[in-house]
Amino acid sequence: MLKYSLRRIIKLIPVLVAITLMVFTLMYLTPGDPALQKLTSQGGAVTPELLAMERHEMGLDRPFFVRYVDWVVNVAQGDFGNSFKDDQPVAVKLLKALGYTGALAAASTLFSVLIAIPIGVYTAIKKDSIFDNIVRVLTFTGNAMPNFLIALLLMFLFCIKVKFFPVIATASLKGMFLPTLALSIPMISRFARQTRADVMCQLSEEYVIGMHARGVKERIILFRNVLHNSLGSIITIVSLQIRVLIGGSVVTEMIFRWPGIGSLMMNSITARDYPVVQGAVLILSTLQVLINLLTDLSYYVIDKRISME
Amino acid sequence: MANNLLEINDLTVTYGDFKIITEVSFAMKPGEIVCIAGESGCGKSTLIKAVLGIKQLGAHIKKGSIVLDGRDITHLGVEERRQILGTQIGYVPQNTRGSFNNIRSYDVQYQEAMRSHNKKFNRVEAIKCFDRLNFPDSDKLLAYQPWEMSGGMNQRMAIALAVLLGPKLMLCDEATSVLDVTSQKEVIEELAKLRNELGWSILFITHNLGVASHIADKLGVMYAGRMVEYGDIRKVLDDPIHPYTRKLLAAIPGKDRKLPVGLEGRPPLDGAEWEGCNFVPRCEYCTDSCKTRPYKLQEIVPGHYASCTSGRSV
Repeated sequence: MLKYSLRRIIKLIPVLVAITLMVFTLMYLTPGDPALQKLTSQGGAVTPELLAMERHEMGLDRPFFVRYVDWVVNVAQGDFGNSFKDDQPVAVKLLKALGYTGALAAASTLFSVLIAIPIGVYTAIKKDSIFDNIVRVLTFTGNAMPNFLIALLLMFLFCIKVKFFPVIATASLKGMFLPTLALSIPMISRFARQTRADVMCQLSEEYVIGMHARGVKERIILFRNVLHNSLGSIITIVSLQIRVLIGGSVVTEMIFRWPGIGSLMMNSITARDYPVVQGAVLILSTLQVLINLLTDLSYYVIDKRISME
Repeated sequence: MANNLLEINDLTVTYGDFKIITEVSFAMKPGEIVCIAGESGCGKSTLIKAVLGIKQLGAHIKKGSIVLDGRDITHLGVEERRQILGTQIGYVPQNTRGSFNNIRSYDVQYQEAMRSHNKKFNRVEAIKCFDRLNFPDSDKLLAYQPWEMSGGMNQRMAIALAVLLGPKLMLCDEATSVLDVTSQKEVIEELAKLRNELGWSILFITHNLGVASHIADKLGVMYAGRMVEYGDIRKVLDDPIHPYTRKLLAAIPGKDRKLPVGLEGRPPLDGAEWEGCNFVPRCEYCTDSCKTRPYKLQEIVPGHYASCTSGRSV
């Protein structure tokens, strides 16, 4: 396990270097002068001398590679620079927004997994029953509906008709409920369908008959073997979904005014606040890579044959 | 009969509406090895499925009964059946990956099987059992996962687990047919040894009459869902009665670089539904009466049964 993990981690180093290089290059190539942007946002007249001085102070007149190395060293120390908009440290802003997005992502993923997996397993066992048919219709619908529509419907129902939740979500458990539900409905649909398909596939495997033939208890066959063997593809779909959520469920966050990374990115792009955008893209890409790593490691825990790649 | 371990009485088995086995009857004594041979699709494996009675296998007993050690197990409830599977009836499937979950260690799977029957799993005892069966590296085997083992070794691990669970009857569904000759020999010798030491009765399904002649006490020949001949292995092999058995024995491949004689035609798909003899389309001795005469297994000579004697002077 340790050897496999180390091998995977070593493989990540070039990926991370490539990410930093791409993020820095993209921002470098983006039209517009950050020094001019900064001076303009502070108000007052911008003279060529003042602009040159600001460019020198911001280090924009140095060669590309020097600026890149400098940026990477600073980032490695947690210094992502300051926001052009309000001169706040980018790291603080990112951390705060990530906290909100992380909480929402964790809550909706956990909620979805806890609901979807038992439903998926049960519908696989009770294939073609009334319950299975009802779940099939619901999961089709949940899968087909776009997030923003679910969010608006929930808002209409719970905030306007029933008036149980505030329209603008507050950073509290109650405020989190509707955005979590809006994100969870399509996820529950996807996870339940995937679990049902995988469990059904496993139930038709011959080892299940082999276990029945030596009188192994049904729950042991189902939960310790069938579900264990189905976990690979369930983890794949859950990890894909987490990556989408971490990337910021922009629309949902915007609808519920949830101050997560999606909202922060949208606002920073509109305001051309490059350090924030740069930091956010870097952090999100790194997180995607780390989630990939965790997914790969969990595959290995489930099925040792993975190490034979 | 009271001293039989397994009695199959007039058994008719269907998959949905499709009849696979018709009115098959035979009995096995404790410590006896019975081989069932016949072409693919004749109902050999269905017979095993009927005895196992696992509902997922889809074999439905339409008529007849299965009696194990004096207890009618034909229509047991799910939990009652689970309790006898493993502890009274053992099973080795044809697929060498069919006994165990491929990606979990033998250790946990042995534990799960033992605990399902409220038996304590003792690693030392398991290793002793491996030693008794002459498994190589016996002290390391439990840590492996089935995919790390050969097909033959997987079958042997399934047999070892059966030893720990202690059934009286072993069902082997072409358990050696996909193994190389060395592994085949090991598995066959193990089963024979366990019959001698533990008194196992073994119902062995096989295409390989060579294997049958080595291990079996009795041989049953099935054709299109019916038992057409049954008796002492030596009698059936040396003096086959039914025309089908004679053709089947003639079809055993030799070392003369010639294809086996084989049988003309194919068994009828609805063979088990026929009132009269269903071997008629392929039988060179059949008469008009064969088409209408009801199927019946008769004792032709003491201990040797057949449903037809055409073309043979008794």
